[in-house]
Amino acid sequence: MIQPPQIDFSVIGALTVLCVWGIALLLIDAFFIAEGQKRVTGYLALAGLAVAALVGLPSWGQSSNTFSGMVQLDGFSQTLIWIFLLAAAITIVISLDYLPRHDIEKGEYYPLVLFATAGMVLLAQSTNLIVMFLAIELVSIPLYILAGFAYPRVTSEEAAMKYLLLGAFASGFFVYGLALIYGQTGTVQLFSVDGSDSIASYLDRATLVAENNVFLFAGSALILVTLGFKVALVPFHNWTPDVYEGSPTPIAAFMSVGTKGAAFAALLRFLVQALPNLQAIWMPILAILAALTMIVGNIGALKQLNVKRMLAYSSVGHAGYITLAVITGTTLGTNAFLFYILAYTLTNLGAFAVLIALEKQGESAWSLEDLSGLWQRQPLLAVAMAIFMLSLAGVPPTMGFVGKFYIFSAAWEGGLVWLAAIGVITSAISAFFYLRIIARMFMYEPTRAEEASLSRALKVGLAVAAVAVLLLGLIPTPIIELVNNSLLVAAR
Amino acid sequence: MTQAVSLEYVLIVAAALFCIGLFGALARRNLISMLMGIELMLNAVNINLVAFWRYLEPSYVTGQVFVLFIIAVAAAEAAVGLAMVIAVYRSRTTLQADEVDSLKG
Amino acid sequence: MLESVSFIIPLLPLLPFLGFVANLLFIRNERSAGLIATATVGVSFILSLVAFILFAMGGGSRPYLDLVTWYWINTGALIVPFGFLYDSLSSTMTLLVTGVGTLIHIYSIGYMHGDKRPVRYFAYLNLFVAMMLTLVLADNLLLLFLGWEGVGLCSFLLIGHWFERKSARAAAVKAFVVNRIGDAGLLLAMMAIFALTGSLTFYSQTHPSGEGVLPGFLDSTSSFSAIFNFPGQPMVLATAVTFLILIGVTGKSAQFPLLVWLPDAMEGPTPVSALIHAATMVTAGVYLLLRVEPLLEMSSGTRAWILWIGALTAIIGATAALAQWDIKRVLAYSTVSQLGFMVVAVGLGAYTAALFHLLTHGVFKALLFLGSGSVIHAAGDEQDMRRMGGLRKALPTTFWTYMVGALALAGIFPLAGFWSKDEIIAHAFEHNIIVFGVLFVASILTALYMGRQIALVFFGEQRDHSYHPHESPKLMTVPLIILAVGTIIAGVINLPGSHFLNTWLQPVIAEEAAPFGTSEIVLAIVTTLIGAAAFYLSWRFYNERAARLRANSNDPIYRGTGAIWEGFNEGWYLDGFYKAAIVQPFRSVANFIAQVFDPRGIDGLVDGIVRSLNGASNGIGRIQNGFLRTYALVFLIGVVLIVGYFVAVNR
Repeated sequence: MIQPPQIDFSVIGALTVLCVWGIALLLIDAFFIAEGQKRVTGYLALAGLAVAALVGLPSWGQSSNTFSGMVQLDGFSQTLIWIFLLAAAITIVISLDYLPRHDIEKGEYYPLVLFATAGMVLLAQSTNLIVMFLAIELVSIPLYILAGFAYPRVTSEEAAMKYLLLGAFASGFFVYGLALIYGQTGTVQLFSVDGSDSIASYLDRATLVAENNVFLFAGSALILVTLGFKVALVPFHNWTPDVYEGSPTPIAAFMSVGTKGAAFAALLRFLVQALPNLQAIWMPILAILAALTMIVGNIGALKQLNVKRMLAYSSVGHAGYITLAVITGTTLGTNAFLFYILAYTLTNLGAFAVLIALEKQGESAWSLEDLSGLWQRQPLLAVAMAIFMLSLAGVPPTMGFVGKFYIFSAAWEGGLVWLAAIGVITSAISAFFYLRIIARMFMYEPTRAEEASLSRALKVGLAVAAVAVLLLGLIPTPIIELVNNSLLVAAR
Repeated sequence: MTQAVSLEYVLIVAAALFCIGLFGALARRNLISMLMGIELMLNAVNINLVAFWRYLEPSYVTGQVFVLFIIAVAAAEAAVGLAMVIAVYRSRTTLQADEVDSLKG
Repeated sequence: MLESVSFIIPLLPLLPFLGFVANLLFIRNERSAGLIATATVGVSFILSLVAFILFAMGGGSRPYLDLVTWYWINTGALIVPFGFLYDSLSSTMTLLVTGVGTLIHIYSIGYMHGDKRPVRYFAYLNLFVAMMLTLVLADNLLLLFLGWEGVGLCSFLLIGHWFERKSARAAAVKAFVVNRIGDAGLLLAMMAIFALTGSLTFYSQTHPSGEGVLPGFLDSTSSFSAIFNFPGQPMVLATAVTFLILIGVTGKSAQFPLLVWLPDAMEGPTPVSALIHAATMVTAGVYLLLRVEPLLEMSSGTRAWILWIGALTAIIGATAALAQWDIKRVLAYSTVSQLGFMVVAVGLGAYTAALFHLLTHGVFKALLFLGSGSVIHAAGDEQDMRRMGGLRKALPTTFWTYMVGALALAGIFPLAGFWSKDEIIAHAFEHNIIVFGVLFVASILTALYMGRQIALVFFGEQRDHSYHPHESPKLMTVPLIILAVGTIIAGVINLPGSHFLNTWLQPVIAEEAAPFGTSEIVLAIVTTLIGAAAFYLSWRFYNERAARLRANSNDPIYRGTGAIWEGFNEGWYLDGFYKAAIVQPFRSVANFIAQVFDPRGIDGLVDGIVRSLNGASNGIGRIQNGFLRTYALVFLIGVVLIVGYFVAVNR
């Protein structure tokens, strides 16, 4: 007789709300919402996100787990959950205009976004490899569909195909790694608060040196590789430019911040909670990958004339910066990671939103050319975009600058001086392609005469994001305090 | 209980199967064949898990449950994947992976 | 005195910033844009004058005033106030920035009349003043860095103001990218300082919690030695940190080897060159060196570097200025050279002399640039000196004021340039005879190129009659006259013997006033006489030969010097060197990787180093070939390498 486990729903509040509401919304949409009014589904999805954000409030500051410790709610995951919900909300807001303009307004879009968000939430909370696997798939499968949502546009379909095949390919390695670790340690739990079996406790055993741990080591490497694929570390970044370029723009934006943040959270948990004893082993290799990622991402972006693709390469570069924070393994590093994720979420979603505002039906304003003289055509868009670009380039007083300074300081303090130096230098190089966009907007005459009309929601959203990036760059202390209180629960 | 074959052999079979799947995913040009290769990789892992369960801790069900999870996820992936293959075939009338290369650079 | 009205200090940068916001969002016509911009900077000037007087009257009660508006970053580990530091150094700089800034704003109203985008111009100019004041008044390195990047951004926007010219856009991007290389050094220096001392504020101040003090890193230089216990170590650390700062300075203050952007920056409107690329922004590097003087004092190694970089820059700038035809490029290279003088002064430990020269140079170089603007205006946007000549009759005011500026730059008694330059040369004479020799030659060259310029522009007959020169409007000549008066009297702030500036700076920079004896007087007389002679001879030489000059003819001394002249004209081939030494090898490597290199470059905006990165970028794009199976293969290779590493480590 198997005892059903005790489930503490306050731990998985946001997850439950998102899943239940997502399923309900699918049915509501199918039966009650008429074709052409799918916008309503979007509003309902937004309401679901708001509820999911609120259920986290009462338990803020506490740390508890459920499902025998496989799912953890701590300050760290709660802050990330809020960031993901924010990202999902912005994505839905920018989709409200985008979908009808491209004739792809279908109701299931919004529930799929909710499911993917649920996956991100679960990924940030998972302290067990099998839960991590399920969460990764829960993020990925809806996103495979969403990437191909602009069907029959061939690039969208191609993006979905590539994403799916490579994603499934990577999953194969993940589960192989999981199996090997299971074979070695008999458990796939990252760590445990109550002292039961876990990877961390296995590694704590003194006899470790004498044993032959080849399965554990190979398995850990495979898990790292797969998570590296999800966050787009070089050399596992190849899919990023193609998939971002082909996907519907709001989805590219969502992937660039949401998937990345969630996978980084999982990576951080895996490294810091399960393998702290092996830091001497994973640190060098990940440091090299981080350096490569910063270099390849930023140099790859240099020659891109397609703004969307440029942002994809730039997101690879930013993955390198975030890796820097993750591998320090220190509290300062974790805090810098959370701050940067939030800064990057606001900035990058804002930048993509500007692109969406410029796209018209059946075409895509993605080339640098299309931004020419934007200042004359749409001053608000131009100023907002300039702020986002400066933030991505790490120019003060934006959030991006504070975040970069935070990360580089954490790396420096963690003894990774050379990596911090590479980070500073590559971000100096990156100024070039971000600046090129500003030059395009302010130092060229417009080439496109007519203008897409902007909806009020998009305008307000953009203005809020731009002001937030600037203001939280000038007064970041509240955010810093929030992330300082977002402690990762520690073993033992 | 004595084992007819030792754990190593089962693991080698699983690893071989994984590599065959890998080869299929890498070397075949047909999208469906690539999907099949990936499915093979996942099934190889399932053999691994079951073997570990059977040989190392048969008193728990953990390993078996993992296999169920993986089968379910693999099915979901296959469903989406095949739907996409059909979509690609409709628009390009080809299933050659190398002809799906309009996004690059 | 000042403490009771300390709120006016944050107002200094805030006012021009409000002007920027107003111009950006609300103003749509040229007239009100100019008025708003000038008024905000003007009020800022009056306020800084008030603050200066109150601060001076306050006497020695407090050496500095630190006003924290809010805490920018306030975490346990890192506390960075958004605070303003008002001391004798920053108060002096504030006066220069707002004073010259106001005059240049007034001048701009006249100069930019009829421009296509005057509102944008004034908005950027206001933002620049706000950022420059933030830089100068910052009480910590991070805030200084905000201003530092901000002025860089404004410089970028203003150089590219006339973006219809492709060269203007290219120069703008070049300026920003070269500066970013320097900025990377400064950013690393900040992290090192934070890691070593745990603080980024300059001086100690009250801790935000209300109790205890927040230590300033300039006060806690002793912690450099506390970290490691043996004697040599603190010097090594201080050298590393100050060297990183020096990298930042070479970018912003156009020192060797990063000086290449400044001559190109002359693509911007002339008032911009006067304000940003002569009087204020480019001196920010020198200001930063003065600010971190206690750190420099710890590292003789970096001071030696500073000394030689400055000397090399001084001579490169002076020789290159000799061989230019463009009236503004002469002044640009001259600025490079004079910045070299200031940096040399810092390297010699003569910090006051550096600031003194910074101030006087700010005044007379602004005068010269504005004068050249008046000339260009009169000559129908012609900048080639071969097409000028004889303009003194048509432009009497411009001519006389320009003459004052030129003589001051040449170091002729009793103009401002004489006193400040002479002080640096006297210091060099005392400490390092080789550097003295270099500076001496450079200052003779200064007299030569200014004599040449005066002769070519103002004397002889007009050589090109396609335009009809006319004196500029009052809005432009009045600032010229004010600056000329300033140039004549500015020397009094640190006359030998009185050493007013030395005394004034005493709380910030503890430096003994330079001795003033017979040998200094003799030296001064000798340099002045030689300078005057050089100026006269050069004037005479070119005056006699100017009539034969045509649009494309060579310089009269070209026949004798040929290749050398060309080398000077090309600014010692630094640009070419970068292309050959960095771009070409990079390109070959990229070629090797990518097999092809896209010769078109990217979008015409690219230059120098960046173009070479393009090759690497193409290489990356080549792996990104769109084939799914290639991606999977690359993935697999990564897996094999990383798993191999993990397994091998385990063995």
